[in-house]
Amino acid sequence: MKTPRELLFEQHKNAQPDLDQIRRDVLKELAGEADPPGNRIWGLSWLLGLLRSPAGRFQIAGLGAAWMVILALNLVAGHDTSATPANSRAGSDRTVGVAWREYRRQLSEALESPAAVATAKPNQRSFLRPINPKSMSNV
Amino acid sequence: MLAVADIEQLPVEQARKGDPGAWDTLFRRYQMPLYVYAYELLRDEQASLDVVQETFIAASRHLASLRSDEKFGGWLFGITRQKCTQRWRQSRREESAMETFANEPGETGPGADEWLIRREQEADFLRLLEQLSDPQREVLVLFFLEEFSLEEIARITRVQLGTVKSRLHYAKKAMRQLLENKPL
Repeated sequence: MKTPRELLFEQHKNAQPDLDQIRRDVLKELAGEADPPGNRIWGLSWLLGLLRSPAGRFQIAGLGAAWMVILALNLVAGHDTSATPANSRAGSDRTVGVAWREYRRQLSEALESPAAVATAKPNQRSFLRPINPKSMSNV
Repeated sequence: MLAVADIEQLPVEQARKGDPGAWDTLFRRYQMPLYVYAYELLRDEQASLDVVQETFIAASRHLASLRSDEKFGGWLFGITRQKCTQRWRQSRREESAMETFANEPGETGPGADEWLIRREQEADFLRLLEQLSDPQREVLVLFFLEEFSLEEIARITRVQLGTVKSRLHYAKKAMRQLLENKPL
């Protein structure tokens, strides 16, 4: 004995594989569509799941502590920033001085040798670049 | 009388939130009933498969419009019927050609699962379904598949409640005759 429902399903059981395929295709299409609210819900449920487990609570506490340390270090470093420009300016002056002396040394060497002067010429493109008279008058 | 859909918890709320697992459960639950319903309306296997697919896609896009989660099943069958109607129109089949009946008093007969068909009656049952008019077959299939109430069937088929009662009355009468081995 069968119910009409069972009998109807049995009559169409050959359609089952096609129906399964249709279901999979539609689900794939659904998954392909971006669903930000769903993602948000997933993120929230993940966080709640983490909070519910004791290990998860320790992990969150550890992450919080790490962030506090980073924040504190950042604040301390922020107080020291007033001294930084002077130090860096002194270092920068020294570097510029060394570079300037090196440049003068190379220049004097070049002036002493004609071959070096030839290699020191500007390249062709910048050499041939036309000068705009208007820009000159503006200056 | 409990409808089939009333006694189970369907993850409609989760599906509304975009949970793919919930959609999978809902599609699995309804794929065969929807196919059978579409087939009984269209009598075409490929068209019925297409209708099921269109129903799933439409349901996933318009679930927000469903106000009451417990009416999900009826809502889904309503979409399927709408898709079938579109196909009827495409094939220039006139809905007006469908038989209509005078309103008859409704009956409170046995539930869908209380109609039991013996093995030797199975072929007769399927033949009877074919012999019924389209509107009669439609209400009978909805009743047998999901045990929808008369009001739900009226909502799905978009006809007056009295018309549904009448159609179901005649369809059940024919079924009863069959099961009691009386000539149709």
